[in-house]
Amino acid sequence: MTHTEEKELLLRLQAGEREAFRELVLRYQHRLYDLLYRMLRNRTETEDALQEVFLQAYRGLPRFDGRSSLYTWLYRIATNTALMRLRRRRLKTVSLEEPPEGLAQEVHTRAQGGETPLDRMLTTELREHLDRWLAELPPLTRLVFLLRDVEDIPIGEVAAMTGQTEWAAKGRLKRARAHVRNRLEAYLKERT
Amino acid sequence: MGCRQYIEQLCEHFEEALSRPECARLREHLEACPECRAYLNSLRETIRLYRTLRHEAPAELCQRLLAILELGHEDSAGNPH
Repeated sequence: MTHTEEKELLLRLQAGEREAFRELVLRYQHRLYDLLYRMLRNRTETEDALQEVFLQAYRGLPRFDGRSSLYTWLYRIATNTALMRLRRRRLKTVSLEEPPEGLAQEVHTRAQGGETPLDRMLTTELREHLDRWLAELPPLTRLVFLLRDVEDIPIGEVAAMTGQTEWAAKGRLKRARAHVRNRLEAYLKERT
Repeated sequence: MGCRQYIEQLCEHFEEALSRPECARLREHLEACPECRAYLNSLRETIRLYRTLRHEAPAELCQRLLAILELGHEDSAGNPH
């Protein structure tokens, strides 16, 4: 979405136009679902969390001052929701993570772009490994990687969104990149 | 600086390393070192896979969301049916 389009959408949202909020849901639901699922690793909880994010956004819109961009604001809500849920989960010392999805569940995935030979190797097994390698990282490190490298949000914004200095966010990003790259390399070596 | 430090720099700056002035030595090194070039390529590939593979919200969830927000039964002009 261009800056102008986002501004127009924001004006319509703040004017209370219901269709504008519907557009917001349709535009961001998949990206936010992906982020939340990769953080929470549980479909039921991800669905609840996504609902919570949009409800908070809906209720918070009148107070949104427009100083940050709309998507930054929405991602900040999603980020806080995911971290809060993980914190609550830790307090309960209960793991809600589901078994590898390929074993029991339908995989909801969306391939983007052209297919390469490596894409064809993207089996359910590899998908599960990618998610699992990410889940091996601490939540904040995982979140920085998802926001910067998957969602393509500038590192300064990622740092502000997650309440850390840019220096700390860069350190986490560096560790996350090295970790997932090394895991993938080892996995591919094992297979060849 | 050895490959280890260059790889650290690559993990820190990734694609930006190819344009940042302070990464000039890294760029020179990449031209000369096939191992570090391979590292950069595998890093690119890893991130591409994470970007390509998205979990998609189930269709019924979207309908449920719109219903909860009471946005599900409107036409494009925002008028109730």
